[in-house]
Amino acid sequence: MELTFSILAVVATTGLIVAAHLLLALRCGADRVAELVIVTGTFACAQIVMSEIILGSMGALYPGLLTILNSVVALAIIAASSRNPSTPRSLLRRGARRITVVAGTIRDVTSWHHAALAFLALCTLLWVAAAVACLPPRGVDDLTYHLPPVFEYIATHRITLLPVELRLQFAYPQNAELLFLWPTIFLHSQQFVDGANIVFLLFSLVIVYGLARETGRRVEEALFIALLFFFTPVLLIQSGSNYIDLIVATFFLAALYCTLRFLRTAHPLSAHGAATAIGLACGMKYTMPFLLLPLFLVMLPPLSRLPKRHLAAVAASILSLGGWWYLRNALQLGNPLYPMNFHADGMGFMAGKGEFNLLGSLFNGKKWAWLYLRDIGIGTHDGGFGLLFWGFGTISLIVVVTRSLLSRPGTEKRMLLIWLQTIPMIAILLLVPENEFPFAPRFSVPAVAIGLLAFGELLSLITATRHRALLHLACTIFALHSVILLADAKSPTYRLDRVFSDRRHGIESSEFAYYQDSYAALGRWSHAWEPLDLLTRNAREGAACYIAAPKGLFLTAPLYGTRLQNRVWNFDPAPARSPDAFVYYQGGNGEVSYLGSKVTLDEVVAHPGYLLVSQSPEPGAFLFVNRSLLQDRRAHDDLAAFYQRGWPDGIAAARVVPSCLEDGLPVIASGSAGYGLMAQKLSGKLHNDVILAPPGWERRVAEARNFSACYSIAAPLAGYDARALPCPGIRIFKNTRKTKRYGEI
Amino acid sequence: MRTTPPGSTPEKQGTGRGRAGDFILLALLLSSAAVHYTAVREVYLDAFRAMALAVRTALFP
Repeated sequence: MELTFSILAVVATTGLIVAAHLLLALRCGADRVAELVIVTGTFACAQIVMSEIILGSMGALYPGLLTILNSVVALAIIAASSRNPSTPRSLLRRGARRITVVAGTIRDVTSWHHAALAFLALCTLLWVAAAVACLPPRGVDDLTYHLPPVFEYIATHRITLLPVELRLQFAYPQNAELLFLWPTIFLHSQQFVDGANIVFLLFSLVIVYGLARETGRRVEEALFIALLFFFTPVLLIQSGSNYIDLIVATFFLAALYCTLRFLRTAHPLSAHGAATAIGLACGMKYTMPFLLLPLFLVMLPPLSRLPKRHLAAVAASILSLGGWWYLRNALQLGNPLYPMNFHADGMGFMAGKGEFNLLGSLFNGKKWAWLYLRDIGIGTHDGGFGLLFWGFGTISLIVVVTRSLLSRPGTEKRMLLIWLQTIPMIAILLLVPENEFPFAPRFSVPAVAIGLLAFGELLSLITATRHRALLHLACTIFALHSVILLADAKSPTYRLDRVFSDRRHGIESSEFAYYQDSYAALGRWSHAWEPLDLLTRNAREGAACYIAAPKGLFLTAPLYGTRLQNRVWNFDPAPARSPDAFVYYQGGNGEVSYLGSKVTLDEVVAHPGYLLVSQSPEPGAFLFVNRSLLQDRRAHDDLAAFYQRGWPDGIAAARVVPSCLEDGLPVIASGSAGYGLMAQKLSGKLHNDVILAPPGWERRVAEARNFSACYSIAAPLAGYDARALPCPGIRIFKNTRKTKRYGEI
Repeated sequence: MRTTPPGSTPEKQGTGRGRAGDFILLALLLSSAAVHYTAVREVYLDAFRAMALAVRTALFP
């Protein structure tokens, strides 16, 4: 019921905002349907982001206040747009008429290749949507720095700077993250947070369609190019994650589209659309001011011919939407572009040595080979421009740029503004040091759209229908290849077989269980995250969780829990209470880094107030919780079910234990048998206290708790007198502390 | 129904461009795609195998 209300609230508020900006765009004379959608979407996102920044900086980031503020603004826009001679109804009727006309045209001109691509796209969307609904957020950057600020802002109702000593990236501009925050703050759940990118993927298709129309393509050609863009592997793989490259590319392309429209029509609406998109994008990534400033400069001459208020409004839009993060960094960290430093190797934001020789970077044959011959990063959220771009797009770009350069000044020359965007796009990629290069192709995603637009131009030059059909067929096959990549993706995974299997067997657990299907470190972490979520998701008050881990694996987002019920204790500058839970990740070499207070694994193992709940089979993740978290009946049942699912052998082995024990002494156990005993205890079949210990730490646990006698499983405790108990299928020892005899030293 | 934006000239398509032009463009596009595909095909083939395995496991657990 509560979830339904939350969904209604977010849908209604978003709908009102979109309706307001739709009316505004219609009132201002948006000429084309693509422009109408692009400007409306851009303005709506801008309003959402601004409202979050305003309330977040005031410490008032509540869903109710967001709803009220945005509704008031939206109603004001509707009122302003509805002054005579236009009424909302007449404006909407006008918009609907245009959309109907375009929809009719699309219906008339589409053919088999459109239908095939659209069907494939629909199936892919269903796959991604199912992954969003059933799998947890699992992109490594999502868990390290995109999502923790979002969850922290929701928990504290304030936009704050998380500790940059943990992640420099916490200082990055976060307009894109604020778009992830929008549905999440209403739903108060992690479940759909990775679905926001789907909306922007679809939005980007409209923009590519609009750009294709601006480059002179017919409706059917533009539609085809837009559909091809959908099948860019890196976009598909990012569409179910919280990587921000897709959103950044979307607003980059929106800015490009609106700039082109403005240069063509000199209509102020296009200039404001471009400024809004530029401002939003600049507030998302540090590279954007460098890439989008040229567009602003191109707009300046015609802009200066408009009434001055437009220039002022355009500048205000860019500064207000993009500038907040830079201002915060300047005030708090002394550097608006923190941690970028133009005087440092790698500019301070990329590990390794930077390459500032632009020409040397552009002609670095190794990097070009990585791109063209390996499509580096393919199959991950880091890269993969796909067969369509590298196969058709690049060669098309070369041809169309040559044509544009050789053409007389006019439309084709103006198209250079589009084609030449690929140079800075690829340049920022080639500037990335070689050791980071495989993770960087995603920065240049807009180049894919531009390459496909060039391909569209080449396609339109081919006269014979059968030759076009051959290329359409090749494109459809290549698109299928991109979709299939999802099946083998590990970062992030889109595998749903375990989800289906669990549903079939009626198994209900935390979605964090499916981290097991991601890469190894996430699989190990899931042994801590899943039980933590199970223990806290129904609690009246969530847990304050302490985390210590190697820096590269210091993943904090899952600690908040699926219902955002928990807090990260380390992020609280003045914690009022001790942590309720401790999670550790020990690397292979024992490396652990701490944030804030240092509490070692040894201290927690020895603390009688905390119990080990779970650890990964190999050395890796540990979860300890305060005993109070184990009081709840439902938590008991969920945890018992967790043990039963994960360690069926231990459950079977431990079944006989209650009948073997002689008295009520505590049992110290580790590994599979330990989980079996815990399950027995939680289900009330075993009355002895069970204390789990990491393997090899049993004696430490016994001594820290000052046990003079206890049971142990598999091996006797060193330093104790031990006696094996007769028990079928499992070795149990009764350990009694060796007492010092008189005179013994 | 006008489906081209102002400034574009779809009418010129189909005239003045012979079969040779088509073949040059086709050759350029298809050879570029063939070179790239040959270089990266293993990634896609692995994905196809993974997909086939997943489907087989789902149908015949």
